[in-house]
Amino acid sequence: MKSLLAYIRRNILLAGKSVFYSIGHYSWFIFALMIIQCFFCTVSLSSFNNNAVQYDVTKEEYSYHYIIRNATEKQYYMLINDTSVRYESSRFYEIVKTVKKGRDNTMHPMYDLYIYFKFDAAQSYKRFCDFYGEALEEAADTAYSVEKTPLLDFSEHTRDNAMYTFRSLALITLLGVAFTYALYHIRTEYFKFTYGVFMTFGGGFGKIYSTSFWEMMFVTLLAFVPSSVLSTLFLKVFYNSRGVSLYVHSSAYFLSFTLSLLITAISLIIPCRRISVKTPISNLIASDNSDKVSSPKYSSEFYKVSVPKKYSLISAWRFRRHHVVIAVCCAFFTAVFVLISYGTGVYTDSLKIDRPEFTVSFTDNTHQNNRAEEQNNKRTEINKITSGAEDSNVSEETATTKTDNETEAEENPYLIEKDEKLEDYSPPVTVKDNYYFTQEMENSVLGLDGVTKIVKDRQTINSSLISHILVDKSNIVNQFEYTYYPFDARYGIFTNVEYHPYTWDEVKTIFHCKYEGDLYDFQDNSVIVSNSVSGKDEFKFKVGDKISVATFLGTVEDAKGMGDGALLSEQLKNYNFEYTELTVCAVLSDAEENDKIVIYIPKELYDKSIGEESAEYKMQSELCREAYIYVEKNMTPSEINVLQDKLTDMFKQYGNCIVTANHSGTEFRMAKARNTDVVLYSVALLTLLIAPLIVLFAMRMFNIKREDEFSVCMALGIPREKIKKILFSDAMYLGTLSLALFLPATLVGTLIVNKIMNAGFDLGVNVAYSYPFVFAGIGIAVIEFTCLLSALISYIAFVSDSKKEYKINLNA
Amino acid sequence: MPILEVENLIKQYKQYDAVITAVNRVNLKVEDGEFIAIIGASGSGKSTLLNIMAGLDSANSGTVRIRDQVITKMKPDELAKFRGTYVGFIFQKHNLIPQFTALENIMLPTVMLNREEYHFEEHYKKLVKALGLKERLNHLPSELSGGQQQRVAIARALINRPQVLFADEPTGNLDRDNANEVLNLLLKTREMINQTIVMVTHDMQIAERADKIYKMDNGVLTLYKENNKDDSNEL
Repeated sequence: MKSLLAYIRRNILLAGKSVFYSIGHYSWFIFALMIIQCFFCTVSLSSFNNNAVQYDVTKEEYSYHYIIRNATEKQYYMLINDTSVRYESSRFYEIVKTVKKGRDNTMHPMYDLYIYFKFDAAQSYKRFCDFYGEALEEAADTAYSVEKTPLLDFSEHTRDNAMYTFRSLALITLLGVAFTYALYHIRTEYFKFTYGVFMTFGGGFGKIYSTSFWEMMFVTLLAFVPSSVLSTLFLKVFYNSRGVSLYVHSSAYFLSFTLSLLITAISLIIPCRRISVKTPISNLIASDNSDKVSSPKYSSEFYKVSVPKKYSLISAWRFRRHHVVIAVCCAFFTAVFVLISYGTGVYTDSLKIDRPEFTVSFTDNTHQNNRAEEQNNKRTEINKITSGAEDSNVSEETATTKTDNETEAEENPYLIEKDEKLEDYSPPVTVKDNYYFTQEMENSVLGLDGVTKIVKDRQTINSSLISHILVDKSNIVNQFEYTYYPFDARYGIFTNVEYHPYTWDEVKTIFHCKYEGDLYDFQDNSVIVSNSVSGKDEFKFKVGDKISVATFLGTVEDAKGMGDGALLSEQLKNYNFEYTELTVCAVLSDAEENDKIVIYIPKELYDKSIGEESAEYKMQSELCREAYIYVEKNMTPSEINVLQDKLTDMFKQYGNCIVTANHSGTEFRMAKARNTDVVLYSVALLTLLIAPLIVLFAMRMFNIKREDEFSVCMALGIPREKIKKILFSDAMYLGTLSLALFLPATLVGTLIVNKIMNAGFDLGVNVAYSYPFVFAGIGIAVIEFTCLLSALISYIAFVSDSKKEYKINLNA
Repeated sequence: MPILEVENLIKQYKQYDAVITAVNRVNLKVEDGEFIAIIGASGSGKSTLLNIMAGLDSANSGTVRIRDQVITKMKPDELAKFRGTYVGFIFQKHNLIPQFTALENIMLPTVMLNREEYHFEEHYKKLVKALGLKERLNHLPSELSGGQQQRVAIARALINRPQVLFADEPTGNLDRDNANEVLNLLLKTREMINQTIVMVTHDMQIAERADKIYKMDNGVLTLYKENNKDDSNEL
């Protein structure tokens, strides 16, 4: 233990001595480590804070985990008289609010129950479902529905936050390793002499690495306090300005220090290894820039002159290898800034997009008709009972129930009783035929307070077999599971097609889908098609493939075939069709549709072949089974609950309709509370400092060693202006080279980021690609400014000391 | 049994299309405790040969054996440890680390091998006394004269008591008196630890004090003169 402490003490002292002796060049590392630690500190602190902040937001908006809407009386009493546990203290749920509503088919009242799960909410919810799930389902009415609130799903947000933290820290670690590696590589290049001496007297890789590590650990320690203070202050000011608290976790600092040490440990390996495998003598003699010169002989030949005429150009060419390495670093890190900023921009834009607060769905009512029938029968039975047709015991039971109803308000302090006027009760539901979302309904919904817009999921269902599409057989994966008829040797016919006109309202419903190609590059002869049907890949369309859409022109003779195949066959024979060939511009791979092929065709063609030309189709085109309702973003959960009640009441008469709350407002506020965009933009901004730091450090080190060369030049009569020209032409050369690498790197990089974000992140929308000109412009400006600054600093440093004019230190 | 043995050593450099042979099939045997000098014109390859023999540079072909171990086949880390333990090297330009004091420069080889203080304490005191560096130990190299810097370089080369000491013109930057003083010091420590010395020099007066003088000419090494061993410890 004593020897270990002595070892640590000795190494820290030595490292401190080395660092303070060369504080000039170690200050670059201190600054670099500060940037890296600021990265870590900002991201770690904000990540640790996210859980707390998001929980605050959710808790503020929801005091319950679960909502049971339109619970029947039986369900209500089942939950009130909880039989799942024996003791009160073991109860794992609590009904925190009860809203009494209208009457169900059996003329009994219905309730909205707001449930809070105690202990571990997720576990309690599971217990609740296991115990009551089936029983509640059995006792349910047609209007019965359940909803989880974001408070119950909060563990998912915690997982999301953990994943976000992990991704961010992994990205920063990689970035930090690349950054420190680049700087340390430059340093070892210019400090080969010292390592050469170490190696001469027995120092191998282990010794070089440990010496470097101790020095860098010392630097890390020096940088740690200021970077932690800066990051904390920044986040404190930032969060406070947004009215959000900052919970400071000490583990964030520990994490940032540990990770920056890890970065140091990793990034030193390669530079130290490179030095240690060289011979000591090659390290000892590289005390000038001689190891950076590339074939001076060929330099002259390159310019077709026997001796250098343009000194500046010759020197730029001779040091080309060095310049390429620096330009690659400069372009890489500036491109990383653009990519992070672009990714953050995509994320921020995805947050701004409106998401529907409610979904109104008209489902197939066959099942509900049966249930309604059962309930109507039950109601008839009860009517008989209450009219005294049955024995008196039953009447007593009913009477007892009524007494219970009267006392329930006392038993349950959360019960909110509505004004129970008979006329307020909805009439017993008579389930009619299937309903669709009509224009009248749309107008009524728009009349409600807070509703901003409605997007109807329009569908056109071709069921009459008249219209069809022709598909090249090579694009069909599975021909047996669909309504597929061979047309000729090349084409197959599909009639189970769901047509959509290419309009903004239609296209925005498929933003969330995965697709290849471009949704926006839609021409007059374009088509968007889905490869999947009912979740299976049934087609293999690619962008550029062809699909022909049939337009019915007229009838020559009636088609009377029985069955789809026979009917279609007769239609093809007796009807006139015109085929319009369309080119696939985008292919959807996960369109959420039933058993139909989804296609988007030009509006004009849609109107011609599917819409106006056919009354039947026109009627069908207006059939909408699902609509999305958007509300004002600042609505509170209680206002949203009121609105949901209104919507439920409004659609109650249509037995097959369900109104579902998506809680998108809360989700939006939770996402906003994370302030991810600002944290990521801060990281991007810090990334923007990396390239200048590397370029300035590398060029400064390079030019320090060139000062002897310039001194010789000046001693031989070259004026200062010429030196300035040499330095600035080098900077221009470097700037142009960096730019040439930066532009393609950002172009390809942003395309990849776009693909990754659309594929791997749950953005909720598919974001179209556009080159980030603003960020690229900032990157270009920084590159050019940095290169010029590097020349300026070197020139000022060179001329500031007038003694240097004639100083020739040939031994250096 | 020779402590240093060189067989068919070749070192070539490529400069554009031409190949320059710096060391051409050199064979050499140096006995334990022997002092040899290598003389030759500038650019004849003597420093290159010295660097290869000391394990500081690599050869194209041939072998170098020290203490019966082939150092030309060793891996970099293994070779570094071997150098630190058995080989000492004095450079013409001192090659002191500028940010370290004289004391730290002297102690550098012990730090590289993680040696404990008791291993070298006594030897260090003798060296400092013999080299007259006691008053200058806490000075940086830039604060020392050329002769003092060279003495620090000698102390650094000798601190680990190497069995073979390679010296590349150790007196090249010194005046006659200082040169003789440095040589006497080397011979004194040679006596103390029965050290083998291989020295490259231009100075015939210095070379004359060696047991054998070899001459390097265009990369080829030949025996130039064998001195009477009794004369070697004259001073």
